[in-house]
Amino acid sequence: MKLNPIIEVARKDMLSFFRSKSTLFWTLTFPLLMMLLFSSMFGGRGAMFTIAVVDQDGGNVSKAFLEDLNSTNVTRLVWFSSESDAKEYVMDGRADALLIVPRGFSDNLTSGLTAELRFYTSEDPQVRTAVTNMLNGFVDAFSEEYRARALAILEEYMPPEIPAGGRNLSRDIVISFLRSFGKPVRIRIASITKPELTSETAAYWKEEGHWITVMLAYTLIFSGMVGAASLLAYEKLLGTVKRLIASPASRWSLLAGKLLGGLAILTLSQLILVLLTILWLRPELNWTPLIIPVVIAGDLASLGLGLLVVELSPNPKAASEAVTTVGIMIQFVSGLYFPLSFLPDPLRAVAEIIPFTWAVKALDGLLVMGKGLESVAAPVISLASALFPRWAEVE
Amino acid sequence: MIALEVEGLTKMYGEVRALDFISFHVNEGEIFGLLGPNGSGKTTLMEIIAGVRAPTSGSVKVFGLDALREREKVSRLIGFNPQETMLYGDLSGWENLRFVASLYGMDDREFRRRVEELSEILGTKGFLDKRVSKLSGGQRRRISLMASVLHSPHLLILDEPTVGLDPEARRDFWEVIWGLRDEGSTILLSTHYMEEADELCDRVAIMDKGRIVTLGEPEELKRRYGGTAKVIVYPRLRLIGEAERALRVMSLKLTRMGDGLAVDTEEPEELVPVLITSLSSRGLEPERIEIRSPTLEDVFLNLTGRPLAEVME
Repeated sequence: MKLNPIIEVARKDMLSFFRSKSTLFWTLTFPLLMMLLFSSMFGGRGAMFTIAVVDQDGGNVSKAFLEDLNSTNVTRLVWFSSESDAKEYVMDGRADALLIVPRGFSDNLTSGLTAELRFYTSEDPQVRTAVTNMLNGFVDAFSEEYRARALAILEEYMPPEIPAGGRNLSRDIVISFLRSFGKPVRIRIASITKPELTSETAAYWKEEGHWITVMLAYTLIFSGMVGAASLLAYEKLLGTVKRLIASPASRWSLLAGKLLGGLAILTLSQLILVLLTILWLRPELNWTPLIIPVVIAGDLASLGLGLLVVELSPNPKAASEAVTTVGIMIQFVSGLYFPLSFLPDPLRAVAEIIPFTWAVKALDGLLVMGKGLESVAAPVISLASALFPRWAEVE
Repeated sequence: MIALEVEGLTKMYGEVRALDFISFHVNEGEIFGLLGPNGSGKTTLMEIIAGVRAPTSGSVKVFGLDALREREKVSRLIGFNPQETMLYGDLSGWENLRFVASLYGMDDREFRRRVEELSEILGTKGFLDKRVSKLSGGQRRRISLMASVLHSPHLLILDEPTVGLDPEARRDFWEVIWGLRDEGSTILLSTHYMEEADELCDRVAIMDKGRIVTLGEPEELKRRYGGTAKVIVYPRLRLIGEAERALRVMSLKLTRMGDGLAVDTEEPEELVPVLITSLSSRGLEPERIEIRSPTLEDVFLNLTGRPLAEVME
């Protein structure tokens, strides 16, 4: 059987890639380390606050209240029967706060009286502010929900006409009037975060789904663009490219082989990184087949850009240095680690013409935000347009 | 039959003329040497013939085919081994060879047969399965050469094939080159080792500054441009001054050459006994005497006015 140059070029590039320890570190291990570091610093699915709880009431409403609080994913509750044990637990630094539900909490609420909670926090001002804000937010939300249910019950049993001040008021007017009293400021539980996490950046890092985008885009930049350029530059430095050119194999078949090898390397890198990220972070993702065209267009564009850099560089060393520098810069302006809104206007304008920015937008749109075709069409066109003129130039 | 015909080949790099209207031909079955210092244009010339670079003007024909217009056909006839070993360090020798075989469209069976055959000739059997990065310079050169001749080229182009090898390894390599010639290849090689060109080549072209200074069989060039033979007398060191004075009295053309005194002569065999008798009669018996025939180095010196060693620095 004839040995096929396209297959053999691809095979050779893959062997070189997977046998180079430094290449494997920078393309596979490094992004995983970044993901592990940042996700453990800023995100993850674990609770943010540990709260010691003493339920002295033990009634149905207090149980419901604590169950709701525990289900927010913002808190981890640790139950104690003794107040002194719970205080000691907080003082040891093992919990951020102590919440005591006093006897009579459920009865007071069901009787229409005010119910009280006792709350102690650690002395750390940041923790105190954060955990107090969190609890206030939760209590507001719980109170509003409770008031809404009470009004619903009232509405059900209230007669249509209610005498007041010598005239009759309709039930609807009375209910609207009562609602106006109880219009709380709604605080969303999901938005309660530690103070240093309220920034948009941290939210970006905390979003586990975005890490899949980061892994895919990182491979586009470094396994794709930088990898393809480095492999070709390496061939030029090594002199092996002379053997390729001196051979009867056509330039197109060599290019096709390089492309095939690059695609295989990229796909394998992407699979490894995405699978490990999923296993580690278990993000909630909106999987859709539309991801495939985005990834393939991104792969081809990144390989094309990498080969172009080498073709246009005065020498292989310059090419290798240029593409690495560009790769490092691109990862910071293409929306991988920071939202584009963080960038100053001129830099944002640059970011908008970088194909990788479009890849990040499309992948986040599909995977994280659950958008459809509308988030794919523009990026795919942009990525494809980044690719085709360059192939022509390379040839 | 003429294997290679180069006509009026010129290569400009901007304002720099790397090759200046080069013309020569190589006969089939010949080992033809390009001899010259670094920067004389040998590598550029070979890369143009191999199709790696395009010339500014001129033509190259390989077995009658225009190398510039019929590149694919010509590249099947040529095996090119540049100065770099051109191997991928992360791959084994065998994997490198398989890759090269695919570039020439060889089939798997033919590839295995040829590897078996060439590893016998080149002595590579013991290390073909090792990663190239772990091999010595000599072993890499052998595999690189093997890659260049895998597809049985009719014209083999070797750019400085023995540079960096120790003298023993270099001699082994010459054996390999002769073996390949016996296999039917025509060989164009470049070197800056004069003794290598002398020993290995049927004909040589001496290049300097992008031009061919002269071309011919080594013996013929030495005869025409090498000057006369030298008898080198080595007296005891402390007596070298006295010996020099004694020889000058004999009206000989004399130059100091290291620790010796070199006498130019057309008839060295006749001169030696005369010198021994003359020096001995004055109590200046020489420690040893050498007869040195003209070398290609002398040819280069006489034609360019510069010693090759000086140009190489």
